[in-house]
Amino acid sequence: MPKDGTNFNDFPALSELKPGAKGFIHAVGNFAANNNAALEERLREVGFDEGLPIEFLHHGPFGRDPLAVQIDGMIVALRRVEAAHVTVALDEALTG
Amino acid sequence: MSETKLVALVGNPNCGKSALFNTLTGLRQKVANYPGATVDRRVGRLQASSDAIDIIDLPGTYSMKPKSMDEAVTVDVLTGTQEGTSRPDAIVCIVDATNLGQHLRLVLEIKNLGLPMVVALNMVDMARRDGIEIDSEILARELGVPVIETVAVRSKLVRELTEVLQDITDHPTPEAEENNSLRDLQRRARLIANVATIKAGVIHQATRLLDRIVLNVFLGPIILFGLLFTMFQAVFSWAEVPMDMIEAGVAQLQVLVNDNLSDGYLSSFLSDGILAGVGSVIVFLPQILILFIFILALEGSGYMARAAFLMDKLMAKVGLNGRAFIPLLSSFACAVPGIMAARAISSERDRLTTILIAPLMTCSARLPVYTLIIAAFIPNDTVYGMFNLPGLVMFALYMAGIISALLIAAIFKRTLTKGGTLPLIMELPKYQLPSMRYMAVGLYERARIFIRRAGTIILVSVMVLWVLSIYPNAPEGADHADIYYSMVGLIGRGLAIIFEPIGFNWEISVALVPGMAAREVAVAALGSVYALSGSEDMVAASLSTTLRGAWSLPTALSFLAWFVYAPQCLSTIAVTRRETGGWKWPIFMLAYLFVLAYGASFVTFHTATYLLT
Repeated sequence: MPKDGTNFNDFPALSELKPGAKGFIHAVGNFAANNNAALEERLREVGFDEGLPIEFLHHGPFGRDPLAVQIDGMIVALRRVEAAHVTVALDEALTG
Repeated sequence: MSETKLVALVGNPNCGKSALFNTLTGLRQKVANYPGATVDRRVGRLQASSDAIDIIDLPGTYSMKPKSMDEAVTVDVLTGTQEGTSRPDAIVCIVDATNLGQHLRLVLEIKNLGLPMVVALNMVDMARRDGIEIDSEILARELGVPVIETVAVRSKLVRELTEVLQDITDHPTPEAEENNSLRDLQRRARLIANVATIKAGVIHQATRLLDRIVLNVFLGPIILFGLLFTMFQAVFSWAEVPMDMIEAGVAQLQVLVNDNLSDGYLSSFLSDGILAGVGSVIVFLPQILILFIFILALEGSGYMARAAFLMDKLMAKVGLNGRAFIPLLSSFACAVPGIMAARAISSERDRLTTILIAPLMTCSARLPVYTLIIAAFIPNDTVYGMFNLPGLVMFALYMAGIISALLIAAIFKRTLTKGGTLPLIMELPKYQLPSMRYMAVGLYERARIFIRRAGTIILVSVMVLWVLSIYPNAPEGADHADIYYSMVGLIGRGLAIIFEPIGFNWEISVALVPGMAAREVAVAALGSVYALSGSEDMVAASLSTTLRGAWSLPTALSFLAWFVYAPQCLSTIAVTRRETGGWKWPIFMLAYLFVLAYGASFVTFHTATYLLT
């Protein structure tokens, strides 16, 4: 799991994905050099949590920013810089 | 027994809280402000209750650790530390049945407050449509508090909640949760949701489908622009018939007064003062209501958050947050709620920038001014086969305000409010048809505020203006109308020295003064001033006809340019002072807008004069 030294490179950040990508949230904040406690708290409050299904739905018309993702029963918008704090275990990676 | 009990409504944003509030209280509600903090505080008496139970609606929050000022108000009220309101006796925590796992975490946090509470499992109709089945008995057992299913917009489906609320304060307080870290509560909330959910559904398919169109990279911006364009065209063209009817009614009243009262002070006071003044403002009620129909529909349908999504990147370019789009859009109605809505922006700097530029969004009080001048000077032609020219000019005026606002925000961001950009994390709510009740309550509220203003601020302003324009009397054998020699004439001619370079005559200059009370009063003042200085024929003619004879086109355009930037009304200044906690920013705002208004009018007047001669 996220905190026990897994190699995070195996799991792409949400910010690197494209619309249509589906999977499960692998880690929220608290990894790499991106440590930002306030941001992590905000992400968790709005509903991001490890293990929840996530789907990348849309990106904005200008500069492909912000992103709209579906987590569980809700759709959340966030900017790419914020999405860099979330990693995703993609479905295709799990099955193939 | 007869002591009034206070019950607070709490929930995540987008849980249907305000709709539930409206249904619980009907029209027996009032909007008030917190002292020192101007977040709307809506309080209403519970319908059909034997004991006196007041319901208070609090701003939506994700947690009891506030991230923005309006969330802070919610937390302060619940913990009893908010000035001006007593601590609630009980809490109704509202959760969205279609997003149970997320919303239950707040319930767990609220349990720790030690107040009697009940959970309203809201939007059960939508959940059922999405194929979601929740057992509210299991949910109640797991949470340890009563759970009642509701459909906020149907009064029949909140009756059970109303009944439970009768003796809510006698309920035992719930046991506090053991683990309080965000993560633990989150996990526990999801666990409870899983246990209580008999059948998990698929998220609102219509929302996903609509979003594919509305948030489409190409179609999205086109739809947004088209909607705003339609909104301004509609404000102009739909309102025509009712406005003509009101105008004719006022004119008939004036004739009635003139016919039945002998010429004298009373007749002049009623006809030139009150009817000309207040009447010229009341006539804009249809336009303001149409504008609000659009804004309420955009808010109620869930589109507003999409607009913020589409605009975020552009807003970020000028250093603003996509969330600033919502306060800025509501500033089209009025800058006061717009400035208050800026409280949802978590960054202090972004909030300040948003407040400072909010008055540049053309508020509905400026509509009367624009409409009057456009009707007088812009021919009602159709251009390019489909666009109404006055509507187009109106759109251009709105755009001028928006573009200026963005430029000024960019300048502020590089100078006054420097700093990095802050996060945008927001939920995009599910689409829904805005409920009729929600629209009706909103419109009723608006109409009431507008008419009350016409009956108070505007009435008093025109009465004072009338008195000042009668005294002192004109000297014997004067060449000008009496008003020229009155106090009003004196003040106007004094101010005209300042405003002459931008093409304003003394009548306009004097109308700007009461225009500070509320912008539409400028129209009322012009109505009175011209009614008093005109001959009998001019009184009968409408104000726009009178202006066409009295002003040159460059003056009219300069007047429009002035009102794009117009130093704001007293209420805007007052709310800015409260929101920024001092006089520094409101004075700065007043100064920079005055300079802009003067500059823009100067350029407009001289360019137009040059081009037309």
